[in-house]
Amino acid sequence: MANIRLYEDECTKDYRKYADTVAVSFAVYHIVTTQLKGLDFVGIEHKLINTEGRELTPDIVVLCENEKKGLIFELKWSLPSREDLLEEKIKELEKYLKPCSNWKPGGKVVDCHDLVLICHIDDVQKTVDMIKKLSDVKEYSFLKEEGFALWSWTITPPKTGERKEELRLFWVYGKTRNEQIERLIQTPGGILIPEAVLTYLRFSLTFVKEKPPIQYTMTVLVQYILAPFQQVPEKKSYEIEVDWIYEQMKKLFPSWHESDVPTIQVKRGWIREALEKFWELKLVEKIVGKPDTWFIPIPTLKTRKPIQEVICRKLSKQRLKELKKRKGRIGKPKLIRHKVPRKEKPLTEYFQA
Amino acid sequence: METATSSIESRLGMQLFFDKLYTTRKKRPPLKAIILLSDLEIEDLGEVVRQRERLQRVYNVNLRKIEDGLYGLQLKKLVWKDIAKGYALLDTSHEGVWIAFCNEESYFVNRALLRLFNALYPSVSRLYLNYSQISALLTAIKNAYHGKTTLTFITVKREPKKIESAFAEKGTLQLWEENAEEELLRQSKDYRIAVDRADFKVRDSETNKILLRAHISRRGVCKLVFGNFTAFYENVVMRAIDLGMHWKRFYSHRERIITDGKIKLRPFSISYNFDFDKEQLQRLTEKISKSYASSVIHSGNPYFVANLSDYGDGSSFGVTVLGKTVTITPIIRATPQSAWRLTNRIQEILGDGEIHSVPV
Repeated sequence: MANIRLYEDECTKDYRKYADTVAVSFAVYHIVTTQLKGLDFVGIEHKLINTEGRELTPDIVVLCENEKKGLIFELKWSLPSREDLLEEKIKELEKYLKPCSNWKPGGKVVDCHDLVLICHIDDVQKTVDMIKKLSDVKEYSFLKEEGFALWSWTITPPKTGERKEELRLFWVYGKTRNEQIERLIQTPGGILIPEAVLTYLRFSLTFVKEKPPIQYTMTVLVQYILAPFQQVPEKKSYEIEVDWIYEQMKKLFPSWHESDVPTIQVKRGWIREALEKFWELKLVEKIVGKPDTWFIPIPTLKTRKPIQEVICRKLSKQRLKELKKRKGRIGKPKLIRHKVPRKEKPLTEYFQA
Repeated sequence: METATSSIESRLGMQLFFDKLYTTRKKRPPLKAIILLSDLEIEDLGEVVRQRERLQRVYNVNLRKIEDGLYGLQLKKLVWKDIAKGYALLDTSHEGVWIAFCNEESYFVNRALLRLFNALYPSVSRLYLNYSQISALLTAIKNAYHGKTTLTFITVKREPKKIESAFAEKGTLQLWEENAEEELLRQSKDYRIAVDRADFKVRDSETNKILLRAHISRRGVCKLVFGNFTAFYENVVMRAIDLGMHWKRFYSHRERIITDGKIKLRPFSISYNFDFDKEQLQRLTEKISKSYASSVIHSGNPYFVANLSDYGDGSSFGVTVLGKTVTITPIIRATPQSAWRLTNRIQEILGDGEIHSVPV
């Protein structure tokens, strides 16, 4: 039971981390477009092309100093705990620091550009340790040079004793080459994000570029796609296609800030994976002979509790079951109680009589 | 009662009948004027009920046209093997609004008539008022009668502002005395208050004669206990509709839109004069999750963030509580009736506040 609780907490925490990272992505957009002067916001998930011809889509792309310099913000809602995986993630950042083109449609290039990595406060310590370790390797020396910085964020009550919570971005490691940004981030307490981001602007977006934890996609599906079907009169079930969900999701969470180049927030693979998980949890059914079509009963997870809590509980139970199965008989040996055959009585009983 | 109302054959007949009935001093059920918002063609009502299996099983609806904009509704409902039956008049002469007049006993009104309208959401929706809106309505009524209004009875749901206040009681509070407003102001200092119903009298400012005895409820039901029906219609029901239309416009066109790649949000807020406790926000999570598909990101420490979807019509909202303000951000689809219903539900849980548009 204790394990279920642990998984559940971890699951809901990841859900919250992703949702807050979405809010932080809007906070960065907000400071870039309203608090800093001379910055030219390019786009969210704008496509850059690096020297290897590889397409890159960082979270936020900005031009500064009369479009001579570029600035990339990359957000990570979570970083792996396993050292080898974390190392891989940090090494991947190299691709963002190679010269890139297409800073504006038409292939614009810049003299140089910087990268700011923004991660969750829980991941700060291990990330800094990894960055320091890797920066000694010649290939990854960019990590200790100007032009790379690590920031994080917190939502906490202010120290003045007021009850309103604040969102702040703060400096952790490294430095960009933009004086204005450095002055702002290095102020004690970091950058205070306007209250509007915490209250309504956080609902501008639903996804960031990075794949969300599965419970997040599942919750979004139940809440926005499946919930309206719950009240359809005279229906006990319905069939739904992945393509239809994808089109709906595109309408619900459309591209923005780059009206000419569609940036689709949600990916088809995420939807498919979430539906597969629903199937594993026996909440939806597959239809034989109709790939990518799902049979959804009504009601589908109609609950009187927060959806993410219910999904996380189901996921945790399933995870626990799988773990038990994997352990099989190798685990703890079963205690076998010695039973006396029915007709045989121990001698002591005769003495008692 | 039913026979007399069901024999009404014209609008004028309705006015004369109720005028006479409610200006004689006799004990009888008050006349309930239920204000509803709907763009549904009234003649489709029977069909809509038949389409919904749950309603069809228990309701028998018989609609009769009396004249343009006035219909007679004969309703039967199976309640615990018994049949609750009654009659109501439906006035549809105002665009987007239905007024159901019914002078049956409250058992029929509450168990059959109101439950039918509630079950027809989102095709039919209720009108919701909070304390300051009821106060504004009372002022408008007073001006319309050129008299003075006195609150004689008020039902409020109250809860201590601080959970830990040992002496503060929670529950329903009934204030019987005249000038109940002053007592209510005193109460509002220690309690979070959600007004449920206000009873009032309108007196002639010169002769002090009672012109009207009526109620207004939080869910848009005006009741006539004593007074001229024509004046009640003009001065109470029409004023309530005016106020309702104003708030319907307030809640309209608030969905998130994207123009030239930029997202535009049109949020609104409920502001309070006190902070919320963690426990109060925890209760908001529990209660709101019962009526909405909700995902709660922060459950209130004391920052509260949740996404809510209306099971009824698919509208979706982002709700935050920060400091003394609740902010509601309509997201993908947001009908005015859904935004209004959610605002009412939040106030029923957290207490009545002041509603404003958030300048964006």
